[in-house]
Amino acid sequence: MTTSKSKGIQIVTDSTSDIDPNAASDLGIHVVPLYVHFGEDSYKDSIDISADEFYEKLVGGTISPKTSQPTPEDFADIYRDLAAKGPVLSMHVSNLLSGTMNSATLARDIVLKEMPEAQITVVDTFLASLGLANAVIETKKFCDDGASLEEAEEFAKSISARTRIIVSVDTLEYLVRGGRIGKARGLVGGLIQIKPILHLVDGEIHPYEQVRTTRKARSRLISIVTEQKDSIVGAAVATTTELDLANEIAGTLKTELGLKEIPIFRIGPVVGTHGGPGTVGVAFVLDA
Amino acid sequence: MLNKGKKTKETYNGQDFFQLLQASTQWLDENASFINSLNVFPVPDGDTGTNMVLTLKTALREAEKTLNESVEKVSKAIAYGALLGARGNSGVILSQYLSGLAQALDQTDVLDSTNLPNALVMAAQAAKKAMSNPVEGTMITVARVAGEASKLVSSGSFSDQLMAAAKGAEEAVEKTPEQLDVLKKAGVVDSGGKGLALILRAAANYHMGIDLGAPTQSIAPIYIDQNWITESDEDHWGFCTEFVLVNPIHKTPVIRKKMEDFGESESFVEGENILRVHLHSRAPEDVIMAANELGDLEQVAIRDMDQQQKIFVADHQGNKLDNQTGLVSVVTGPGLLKAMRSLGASAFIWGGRTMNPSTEEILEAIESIPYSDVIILPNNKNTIAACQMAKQLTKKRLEIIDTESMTQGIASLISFVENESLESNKKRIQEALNDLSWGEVAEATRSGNNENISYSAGDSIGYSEGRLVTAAKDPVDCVMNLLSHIEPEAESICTLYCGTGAVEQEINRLANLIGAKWPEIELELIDGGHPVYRYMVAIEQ
Repeated sequence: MTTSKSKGIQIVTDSTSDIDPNAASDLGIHVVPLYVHFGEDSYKDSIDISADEFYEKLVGGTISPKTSQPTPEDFADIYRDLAAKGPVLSMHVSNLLSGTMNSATLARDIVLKEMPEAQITVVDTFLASLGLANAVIETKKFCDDGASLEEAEEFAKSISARTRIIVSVDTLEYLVRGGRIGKARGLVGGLIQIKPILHLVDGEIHPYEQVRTTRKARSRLISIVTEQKDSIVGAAVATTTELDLANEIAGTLKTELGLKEIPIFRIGPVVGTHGGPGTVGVAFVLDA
Repeated sequence: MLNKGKKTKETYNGQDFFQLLQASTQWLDENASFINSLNVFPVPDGDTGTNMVLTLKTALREAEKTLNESVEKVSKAIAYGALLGARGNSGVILSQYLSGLAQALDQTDVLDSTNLPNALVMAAQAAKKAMSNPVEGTMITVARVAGEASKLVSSGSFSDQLMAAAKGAEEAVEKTPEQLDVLKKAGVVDSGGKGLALILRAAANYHMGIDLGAPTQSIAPIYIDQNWITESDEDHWGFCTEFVLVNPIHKTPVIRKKMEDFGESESFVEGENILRVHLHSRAPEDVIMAANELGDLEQVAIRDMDQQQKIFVADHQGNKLDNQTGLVSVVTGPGLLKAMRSLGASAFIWGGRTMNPSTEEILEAIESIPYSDVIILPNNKNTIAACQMAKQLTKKRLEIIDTESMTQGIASLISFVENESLESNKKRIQEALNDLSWGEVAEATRSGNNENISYSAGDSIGYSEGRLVTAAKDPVDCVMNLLSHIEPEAESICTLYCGTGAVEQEINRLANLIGAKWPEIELELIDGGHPVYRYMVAIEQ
């Protein structure tokens, strides 16, 4: 709806935002996909392989998937195209979780050499998935009301810094396998099965607390968020495989937090590789 | 400190010797934080000063029982007590030193100039033997030099000999930085060596009636090897595991050989029918299980050294961690220890078969961890009182959670978060305990009738939250009755901790029955290894 505004700021993100490709094109947001690999086979995240196909393969298959960041060329192609239309703001997953930021900054440098007049700003949001999605969508709205690239960058950084992500995973197996969690010895390899609740701190995944049952983990997700309801101005829910539950949580939080809308995101193959089936997350944005 | 010693007294009987050591202990105690501050090794082995003082205090308590007797009896009691109370490597070496002293004074009524130099030399030799890999520039060197110095004046008076030993020890301490590079870099002397020098100095001055002056203030080491801090990864150190074997079934070298497979940094101190073992292991439950076969296991203390190291590193990098809570848990059964140790406890006290650790053991565990706010899980009704005693004795902020079973202990540990305040942890744990139903099945040792339930000796009796609710011939029936009594809700998790009495076939039968009767609950089987409870059940909603 806004893509026709030729002088508007062009918003770019990556597929770890878990913004559905169709929704992104409706919103006028450009999503650069990461890759997921099963052995020799490579797929563009959420383009060549859908979330449903992926989780079926993840649970049923024998090969553990691996993920990789977009190449600098993937970014350069889209920057070249967009820089001709207007300033580019590129918002990405925490550099502590993925090398995507490296590819994006490299691509920016390449394109700026070719097109010295181009305006491209790359922002590390220190977020991922639903938190990143929400920050990107809100920034896009902010830009649509008319903003300079500097103002847009400032807004993007501010909303990212005010975003919190809290996640319940069924098992730490996938995070450990993907090397995305280092500081949680107490949670790994124990004899007693526990349900970890994790949160993102300064772009890294840390243990928040641990509970014994799935049911309790889910009720804690809600209570952890509602404990801070007075300062919450926005929220989102995401899941890998538990769509009904995500709907339920979003419904509860809508009432509890008094928010008009709580978007639900489907966690795609790349993020899902590290979270695994049964992952449910809530992101919320604190008051400025 | 002014000591009114018996100036010019040249012979020491048992009581005199006791007082001499008392003076040394007091002086060491006054200087304990100074000694602690010398510890530059980020080896989280407790603090040297505190360890040595604790060792001496237990030695004195044991010796109090034998006052007014020969120096032989008193020194043996001291050696025995030190062995019982030895904490950390420095405590172990010190206890071995005292044991060597006692050996030298065998069949001796008084300590005097005829036997002192030889006793100090033998003490030093015994101390060296305690270490599998003795290092120069430590307490071992200081002990040796002190003995040699007193031997040089063996023809002189008792006063000359004792003063020479103290002076020799002090000189040896000053040379330790030349022998150990790490000390030189840190600008400090060896802490254990310094401790021994203070002990000898206090004894000498007490004997001469010379004032010791004011204790030394703590210092801040000027250098900590950053490599140690950055290179050592998590899980590096494992658990400091200490225990005493009473009536060991093998000679020490045999036991040493068996224990070597389980860890590192091990030390062994022998007494009469008693052996104290200290080692660092990544699987303390395996150590305990193996040790259990080698004699009567007592005074088991287990501490998480990685956690201690984390605090040490944070302190020395200047970013002191706020709002940290330590947790001490009483545990019985190797499998239960394994289950608990991954959940974030800082230290464990072994309940043993009686499940009643002493106030002293509890206090030492609380004192040994680097947290000023501590939660303790007694995990047994009969241990709560000892914990309350410990609370009166410690300066730390201590919160006793009235857990009456291991199952409650594990539920508490699951909800425990180290990076949160004592208050918030207490709240978390209380909430977790509210959602837990628990029970235990044991064998009746005699027949009886309680709560209108009759049972015969050998029957299985089932308790729900500490109250007798069922009895049956077959342990499987007993567990099923107990579970029916608890009425597990759908979607809950039922954990069955199997004790040493449970056998595989029986466990399988039980698991099948539970699965058939309550298909909607999740069953988890844990080999707990509890010696008394054949089964413990925990149902978490």
